[in-house]
Amino acid sequence: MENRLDFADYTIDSAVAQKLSFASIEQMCFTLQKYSAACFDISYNNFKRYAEKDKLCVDPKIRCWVNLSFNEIAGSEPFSQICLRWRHKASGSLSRLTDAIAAAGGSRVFIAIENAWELCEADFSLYFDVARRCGVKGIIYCCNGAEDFLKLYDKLSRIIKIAPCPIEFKTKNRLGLAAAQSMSAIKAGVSRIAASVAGVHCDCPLEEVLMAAKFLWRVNIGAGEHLAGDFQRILLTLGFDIPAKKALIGSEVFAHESGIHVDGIIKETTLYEIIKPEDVGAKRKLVIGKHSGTASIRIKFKSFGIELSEDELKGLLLKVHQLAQMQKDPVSDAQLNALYQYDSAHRCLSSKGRMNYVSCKKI
Amino acid sequence: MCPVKKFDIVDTTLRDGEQSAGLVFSEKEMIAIAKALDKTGVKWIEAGTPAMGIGEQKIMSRLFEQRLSATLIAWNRANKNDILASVNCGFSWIHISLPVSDLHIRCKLKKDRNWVIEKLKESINFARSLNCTVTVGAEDASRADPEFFLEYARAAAECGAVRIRYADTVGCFDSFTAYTNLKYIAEKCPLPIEFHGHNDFGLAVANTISAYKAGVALASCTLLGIGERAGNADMQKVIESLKALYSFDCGIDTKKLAAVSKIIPPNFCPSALSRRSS
Repeated sequence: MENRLDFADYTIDSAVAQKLSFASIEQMCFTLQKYSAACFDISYNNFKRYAEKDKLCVDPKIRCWVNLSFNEIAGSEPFSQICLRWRHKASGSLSRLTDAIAAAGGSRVFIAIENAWELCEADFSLYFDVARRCGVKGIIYCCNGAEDFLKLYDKLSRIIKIAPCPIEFKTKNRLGLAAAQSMSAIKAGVSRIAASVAGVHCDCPLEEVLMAAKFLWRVNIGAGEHLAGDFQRILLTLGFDIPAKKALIGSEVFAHESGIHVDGIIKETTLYEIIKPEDVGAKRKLVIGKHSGTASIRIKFKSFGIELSEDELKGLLLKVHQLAQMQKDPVSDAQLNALYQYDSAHRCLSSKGRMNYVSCKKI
Repeated sequence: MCPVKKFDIVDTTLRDGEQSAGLVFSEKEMIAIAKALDKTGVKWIEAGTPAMGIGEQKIMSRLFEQRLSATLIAWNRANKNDILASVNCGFSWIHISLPVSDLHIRCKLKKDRNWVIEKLKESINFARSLNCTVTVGAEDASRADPEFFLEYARAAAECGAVRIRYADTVGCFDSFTAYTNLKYIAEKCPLPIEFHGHNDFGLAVANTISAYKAGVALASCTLLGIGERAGNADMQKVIESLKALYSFDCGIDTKKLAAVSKIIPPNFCPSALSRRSS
């Protein structure tokens, strides 16, 4: 396995589509380059509507995707790299494609075969011939998100062996398979994977492929310790709410509530965490709720400076479960303390009379 | 390798799904989810953990009153109190879980492999003495010695368990390791295997598809992929992937599944990226 990973980022295209300021986009590019983003793909349509066009097209890392139209090819002239969208047809002529490559100036051109999953290896030979003749910089294999990972790996491995230029990979996440398919492509030896932060705009979630390659395959990727914060900021800038449980970058992805899991985490974090929260710049969280066990309550009160007896623990646990079920929410520290105070007062008063538990409102 | 002809989905929304930190289903929601899942054609519902207490036991009993076609399964640790609590709720299908990785056995339980095998046999025999059908769980199987997993499976089979869950507890599989490891195990395992994937690297659905390809017979899934940490395998995506890649029909109505998924609060869904409302 090559110890290198390279991404074509699509997050920026979302920013361009939303007409965010160039300063914001520049900041995003700077951040994403920490995460192996080697180029930033934007669509010509979004570029056309963007106010600060001149600043976008001078950046050599920005690649413009165009349809095979004279206007778009001409309009993309200032870019150092362009990608021609192409759909293969059986027995179709490639002359339109070769004409477009010539018009675009071959050596800055990539070809994206948007239905590559339908092609057999012999079909790719046609495009390799075009690539040789026209000096094409690379070919992008666009997958529809529904290819078997082993067959994809086999197919890409064979294609890459005979390709005269780098092969990139792009896929869709409609079936939740984009990260895995991208990993098949990496294993096969593609030079670059299309991805975006949390799968925005492009579908393959960058953080998933990056961290899976780093921690499962030991690919040398230096960055990571600020991943969660960096990607959360980018998503907020783009106007997205990040799911709290989003793999690797969600705010609650290292939150533990279930008694068995908390008990395990206390003993050894690797029992229930394949990576440490610090590996992605996140924090572990202990949630007290319906599924908590005595270990959670004990450790929570230890943080308050209180050592609980077994009886106190059992009594509190029952009330925690009841309260969490009643309010359909975790039990806050303030509520926990109130329950403890109530229990203590109740034990104190038990010989003198009854005290009724009324409610414990969430503060 | 021919794809398996039979592949069942085991829904664990009400058990592992609800273990998503901070998530609580009301009794009404649990019943609604169970009934709706039943209508989609889901055959197996892991309903909960009666050992959690009286509140949970009450809800479990209410689930039985719904007379669902799906089989309700209770999750248990390998101890008699857990199993008795489940039986007293009305469960006749009991799932008993023990860890099989040396990491879990040594660090969590402070025991050894022999203890795990003995505890497994003891608890299966106890559950069977109460006329229960038993499935067993192998926690952290993806980090376990495969030969010990097979030893565990053989012990379970000898005691009368009917299937075994292979848990990728911390989501450390990728498609390739899932396929390779599960293919090896599936060819030698005396019991049908249920793959249980977690989504820590966003690979739970893909690993479940690899499991299907490797020849396992069942997979745990949840609605919208909710569950511990980054969740479990998203049932809808697993079903749609099997259809798209292998023309395999799980026999579950995905339109009805999409409807029941609306009961799940969206902020617990790991993949629901949404625009901020202005």
